Amino acid sequence: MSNVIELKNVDKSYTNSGFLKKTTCAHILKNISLQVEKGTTLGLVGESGSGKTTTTRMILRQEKPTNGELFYEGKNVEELTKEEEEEYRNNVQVVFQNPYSSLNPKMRVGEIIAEPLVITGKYNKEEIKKRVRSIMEKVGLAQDYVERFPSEFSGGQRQRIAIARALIQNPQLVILDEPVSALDVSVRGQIMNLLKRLQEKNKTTYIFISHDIATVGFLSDTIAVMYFGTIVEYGKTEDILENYRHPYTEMLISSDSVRNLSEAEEESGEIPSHYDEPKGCPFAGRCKYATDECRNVTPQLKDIGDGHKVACHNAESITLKSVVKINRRKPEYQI
Amino acid sequence: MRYLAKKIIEALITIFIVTIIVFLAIHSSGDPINSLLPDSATEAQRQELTEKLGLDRPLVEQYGRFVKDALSGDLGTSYTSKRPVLEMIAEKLPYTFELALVAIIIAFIVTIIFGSLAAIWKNTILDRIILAIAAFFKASPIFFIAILAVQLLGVKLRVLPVAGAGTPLHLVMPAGLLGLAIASDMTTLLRSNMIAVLESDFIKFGRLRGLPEYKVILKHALRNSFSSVLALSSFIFASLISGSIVVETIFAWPGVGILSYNSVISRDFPVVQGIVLILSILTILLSFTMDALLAMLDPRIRKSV
Amino acid sequence: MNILEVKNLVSQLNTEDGVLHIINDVSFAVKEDECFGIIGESGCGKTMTSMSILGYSDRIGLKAVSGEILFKGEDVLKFSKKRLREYNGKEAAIILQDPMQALDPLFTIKDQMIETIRRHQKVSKKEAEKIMIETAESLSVAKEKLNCYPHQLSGGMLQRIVGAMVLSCRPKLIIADEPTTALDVTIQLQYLKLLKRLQKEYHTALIFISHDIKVISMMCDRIAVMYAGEIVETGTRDDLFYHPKHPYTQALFKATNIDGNIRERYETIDGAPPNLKEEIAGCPFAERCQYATDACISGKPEVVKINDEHTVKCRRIADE
Repeated sequence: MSNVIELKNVDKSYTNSGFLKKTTCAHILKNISLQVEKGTTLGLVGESGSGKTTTTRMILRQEKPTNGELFYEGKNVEELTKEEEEEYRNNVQVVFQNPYSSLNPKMRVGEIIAEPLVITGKYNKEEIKKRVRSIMEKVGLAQDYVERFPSEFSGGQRQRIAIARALIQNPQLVILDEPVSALDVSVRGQIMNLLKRLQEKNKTTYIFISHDIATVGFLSDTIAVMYFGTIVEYGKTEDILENYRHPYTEMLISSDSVRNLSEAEEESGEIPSHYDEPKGCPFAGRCKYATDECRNVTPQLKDIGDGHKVACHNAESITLKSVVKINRRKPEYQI
Repeated sequence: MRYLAKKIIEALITIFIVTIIVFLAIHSSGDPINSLLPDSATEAQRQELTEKLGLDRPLVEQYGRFVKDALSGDLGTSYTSKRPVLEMIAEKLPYTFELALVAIIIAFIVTIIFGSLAAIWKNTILDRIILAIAAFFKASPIFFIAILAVQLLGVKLRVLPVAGAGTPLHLVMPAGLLGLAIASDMTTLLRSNMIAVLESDFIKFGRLRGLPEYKVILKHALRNSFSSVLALSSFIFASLISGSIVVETIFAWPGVGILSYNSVISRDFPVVQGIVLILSILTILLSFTMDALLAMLDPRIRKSV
Repeated sequence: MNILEVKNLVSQLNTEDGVLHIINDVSFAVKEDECFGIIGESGCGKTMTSMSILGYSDRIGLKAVSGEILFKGEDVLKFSKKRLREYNGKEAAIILQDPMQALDPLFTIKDQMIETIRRHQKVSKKEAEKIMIETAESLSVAKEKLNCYPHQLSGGMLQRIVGAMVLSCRPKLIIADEPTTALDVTIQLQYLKLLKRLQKEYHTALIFISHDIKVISMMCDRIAVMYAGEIVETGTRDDLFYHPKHPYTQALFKATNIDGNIRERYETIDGAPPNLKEEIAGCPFAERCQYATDACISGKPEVVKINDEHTVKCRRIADE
């Protein structure tokens, strides 16, 4: 199985230099290495400041990495020919978090969904119409919605429109950036089921980004947990959810599974500032297992067996609780 | 502090670029020799005058001389009146200052009062009246409004004087009209900003904390709506300058406006050059003041340098 | 003792597209010192209800057609402008969802806090500062942060500051409208724990509004479930979680995956909430309900009392 996308040792820093003040540098991404196998889903879990949004920008090639390389189907993106570049653009699509601002309110639904095809200039009107109709059916949008405007639809339906737009070119990779976080709970399931079904049918590769470990777990085959610009834990979904080894992953999972406030801690600290980077492990300030080594030496990602990687000095020695069980019953269609 | 220093340097660089543009623009707008000498002048006489005025030297050298002289306060001598340009400008500038200052004050007062009222009572009759008046002032060229005002207030009703600069009353119409013309853009901008600000959460939260409405509007809403009006300031000054040329001419107000009009017509290079230079510098300085005010108003700008 | 009683409130919202029947016969009571939760999804009317309770309806075009909102016996809907100014902040207050938006970006935290304190208490600037520092400390906000501007602080810190501002006036009722939704998940729990502790310390009643069932279950003693402008079920936390009776409540719990297991497919509720442009004759959930009968569609169900605190508005339950 080949990798659709691979990031190798990617750094991204933003420098703010003026001639009258000292240069400040924010290292948003540090040594990120990720790969996604064709037809699978990579889940990226992280909160604000983790760097997950910047990682998407790297993959969408909105910006260039400061260091490191990005590979598409084995080829370095800097070496792509013009045709290959175009192929890249058509094959890497994105669905954003906010269904209210990602659709042009002045365009009709049909136009929005057709836009990617129109831009390539390779299809005639008839073909475009056909494909729009087909994709709308697949995502569960009624045909007569073509003439309507986004403002007439609910959040869930708008996300369906955004998904239709992303999928109309049958892309290799779709980046899903918190696609259900802004939706009501009862609608989230509809969209998640839809995404899963479409992946099973078309063998699309997904990168699924969220701060909610439960939804990430639902769709992902592998998970990367990000904190302060680094990957702190990486591995197969079962490994991460049932056998996590990093204290931050523990914090995320227990925040999700706490049922009683008495179990929670009143002080669990905050993410450090990019302008005042702490020495050593970025999580040390909030970690209840932190030692002096943690505060002085930055841990590197180490393989602890079978592709499960952790960036923690104490990964082997501390015992964490394991609370989430994955219940993989036979799939039941709910459409 | 750093923000201000950065802005000062930006201002100086802009002034430098402006001098180059002014110089080139004036010099490519026509040969002054033709307007200075009668048609019957001979080739030799033309040549003599050209040499005398230094117009046959390379452009860069002329520019160099221009800057050097300017820095020591010498902006040249008028071709027509033979007086030092600086002196001519200096005697007219205070009048234009007076006009501009009063116009700006009127503009700000009008904008704050009517812009806020229109926003608070949006979509009511009051709002529509204010918007209609603003549209009228925006759409009409200033000379049209000026002439209307002159006819109505000066001739028909005889309430205000129409020419000259003798008494404070003389200032009312020119400054008033100029102020209203500028206020038209500022008012609609303030209104739309304030409408957006009044919808924001912090206004809601302020009211729900029990803050009295006048405080919510004056302290919080107005301050937050004002920054874009200030950011418009360079355009405001540009309008002021072009507006004052027209207004001064119509009302015979003895300022720089009239002077510039006459000098352009007579192709009096040094005077036009001097005026444009001085006005540009003033605009840049005033812009800079506005930027400083903006930074005082909005802490986010201060920190983002 | 009930500090708040909402009685048969019916309200309509004037929008550009017409009139929305946004609150349809809502009744509930909140006791002093209790934490009362309202669960509902977007558009169910929970935010509009909170605006009505705070007397803010006029400003947003919300008109109460009938019903009362009794705060300590007085009808808030009839409050004069003067009475409202006393009421807002000092007797009843709100914590909004997004703390970044809730504060004026042009003034320091200190300015805004002192402004609030001095509005409701006749104290000098120095005394107000003292009160501010004390309240901030009880929310673990360091003194230095008070001199900052809102954009310099994180969401979690700002929400604590908002909490401090609200608590500094010692209101008897606080409405928290999705206070943790905009915060990072690892910060949310800290904040909730803090809020719960302070609610007890300051003896305030708290109305906690959220779409997140887990959060509500951790915070609230009694909970109401809202759907399309109506309250479909009310009960204690145990009533609702162990014996949910209304089909919407049951479906909502299933869709939320409340036991935390990850399944192969999400449970969903088919369809979408009804359009509020028309008045709904029968039960608003009927078109999505698997048990719906013709009677459900034609007429409103009565409120059935299951026990002292547990009530449901469902025909099927009534028939049992």
